[in-house]
Amino acid sequence: MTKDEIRQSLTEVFREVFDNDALVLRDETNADDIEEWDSYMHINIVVATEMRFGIKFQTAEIEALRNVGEFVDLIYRKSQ
Amino acid sequence: MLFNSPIFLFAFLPTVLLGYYVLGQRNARAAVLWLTASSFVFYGWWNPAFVLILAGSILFNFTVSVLLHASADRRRRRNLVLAFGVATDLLVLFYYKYLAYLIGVVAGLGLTSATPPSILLPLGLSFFTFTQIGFLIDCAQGEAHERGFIEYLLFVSFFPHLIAGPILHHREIMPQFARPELCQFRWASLATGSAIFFLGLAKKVVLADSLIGPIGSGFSHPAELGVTDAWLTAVGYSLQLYFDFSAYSDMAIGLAYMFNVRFPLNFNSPYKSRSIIEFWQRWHMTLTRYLTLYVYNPLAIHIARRRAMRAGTNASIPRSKKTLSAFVPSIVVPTLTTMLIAGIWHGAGLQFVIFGLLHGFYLVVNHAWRLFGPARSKAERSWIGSWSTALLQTSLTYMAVIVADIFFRATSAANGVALLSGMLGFGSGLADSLWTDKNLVTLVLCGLIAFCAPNVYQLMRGYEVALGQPKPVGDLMPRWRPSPAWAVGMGIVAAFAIANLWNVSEFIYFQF
Repeated sequence: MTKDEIRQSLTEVFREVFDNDALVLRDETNADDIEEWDSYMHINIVVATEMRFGIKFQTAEIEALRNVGEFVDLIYRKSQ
Repeated sequence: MLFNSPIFLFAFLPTVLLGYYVLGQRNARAAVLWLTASSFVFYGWWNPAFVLILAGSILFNFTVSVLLHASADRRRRRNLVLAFGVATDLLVLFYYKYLAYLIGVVAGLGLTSATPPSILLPLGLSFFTFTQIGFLIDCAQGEAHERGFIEYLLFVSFFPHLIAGPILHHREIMPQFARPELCQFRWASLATGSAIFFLGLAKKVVLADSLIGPIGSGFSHPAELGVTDAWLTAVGYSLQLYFDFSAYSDMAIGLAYMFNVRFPLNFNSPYKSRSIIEFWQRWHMTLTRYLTLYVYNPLAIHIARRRAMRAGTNASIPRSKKTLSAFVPSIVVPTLTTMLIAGIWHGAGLQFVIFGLLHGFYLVVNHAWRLFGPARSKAERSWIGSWSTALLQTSLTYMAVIVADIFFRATSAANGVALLSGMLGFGSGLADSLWTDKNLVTLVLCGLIAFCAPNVYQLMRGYEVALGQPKPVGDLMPRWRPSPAWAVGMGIVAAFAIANLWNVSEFIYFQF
C-alpha cells in the first residue's frame, strides 16, 4: 500500500467512526481540529484502524503521534 | 528544603544558578552534573538517608531500561523484565506508603495483633516512582529514544519537579538536557523565570497559607460547625488546595525556566471549567496525562480490541457508540478504574478511595450526557442563553469538585461525611466561627482570581515559558513584559511574598 492509499483508507475509517462523510484528513490534522475527537473516540479510531489494516499498535506508539501525517507514516511502517 | 524557605531562596538557589552558568560557559556536561549534585543536596536536606532511596531507585530503573533495550527483539524476555521492574517499583511504593495503613486496618478488624510500624514516607516517592515506571513502559515499547545516563539522572532528580511534579515525560525533558545552548546565560530566562516563581510564591504564602487556620479548625471538628462555617470550610479548602498546588507548579516551572528548561503546564485555570472532563484537562494536567497514557488508554484499547474481535471482522468499525451495552465496557470500566487508582495514588485511606470514585462517577455522568444527552438547544446559541448556560455549567462543575475535595482533605471518610452533613444543616453549630474579616477578604480575593483573572501563563502569553498553551485571552488582558513597570510590580509582589516567609508551611502535595 502506498501512503496515499493509506490516507484514503484512513479517511474512510475516520468518516465511519465520526459518522461524518464530509470529513477530510490532511497531514497536519490533529485532535484539536475535530470537535468530537475526545479520549473515547480516540480509542475507537485506534482499534478501527487496527482492524482495517490488520496491524496492532503499542500504546506508546500512538501517544508519540502528533498528527494524521505521522499516523499514516506509522501505519505504513507497520504494514510493510 | 522548601521553595518557600529563606535557606532555599537566599543560599541554595543563587549558588546553584551561579555554579550552573559559570561551569556551563566552559563545559555543558559539568553544568549538568553540578545541577544533578545540587538536586541530591536539595533532596537530602530533609533526611540524608533518603538520598539512598532516590539514588537506588534511579540506578535500579536505569539498569532495567538497559536490560529492556538489550531484549528488544525477544518479546517474552522483554515482558518479563518489564513486569519485574514495574513490580519492584510498586512494591517499594507499597511498603512506604500503604503497608502501615493496611496493617492498621487488618489489626482494627481483630485479624492480627501486630501494631502498624512507623514508616517515614520518603518525599516525592510516588512522583519519582511514577515518572520512572512510565519510562520503563516506553522503553519496553521501543518509544524511549534518549538513553544517556547523565540525562536520565537529571531528568528524574532535577530539583524543581522532584518532590511534587509536574510529572514529566522523558520525551519532553531529556532532549532539553542534551541541547548545546542549555546553559548559556540569558537575562530573559532569569527575568521571566523569577517573575513566575515569585507570582507562585505570593499565591502560596500570601493567599493559600492565610486560609490554613480556620480550615484546619473546621476539619478538626466538622460535626460542631454551623451551615455557614461548614460551607466556608469546604469552599475555603477548594481554594486553598488550588492556590497551594498551582503555586507549587508555578514555582517549579519558573525555577526550571531560570535554568533554560521548559516544564509542561500543570494548571490552566481549572475552576473556570464548564464540565468535569474539562476540569481534568485543566487540573493537575500532568497527572491526567500520565494516567491517560499508562492506565486509561491501555485498558480502554484492550477492552475495545476484545469487543471488536468478538463482534467479528465485519463489524470492524465500532458503530455502537450510542448504546448502553457499549458504554459500560468502553467508558465506565476504564474511567472508574483509572480514577480509583488516581485516588489511591494520593494516599492510603478510604477517603482517597471515595475521592477517586466520586470523580470517576462524575466523569461517567459527563460522558453519558455527551453521548445520550440532548443536542445543543437554540436558546444556548443566543448571547444570554450561552452566558447563563456557561454560568450553570461552571457552578455545577465547581460544586462537584468541592464535594470531592472534602474527602481529599478529610482525616477519614467519617470526617468528610460529617462536614458534608454540616453543609446540609445537620451540624450542631456549637463551635465558634474562626473566620476573621481578614480570612473572609482573602477567601473572596482567591475566588475572584480563580474564576475571573487570567492565569500566569496567560499573562506571559507570547513567551512560551511552559510546554503547552494556556487558553487564549483577549488583547485587553494585561500582558507581562520585561519592562521597568512590570519589574517594579513584580518587585512589590516578591517583597510582599518574602515578608510573609516567616510563617513557613509545607505544600499540601508533599504528603503524596
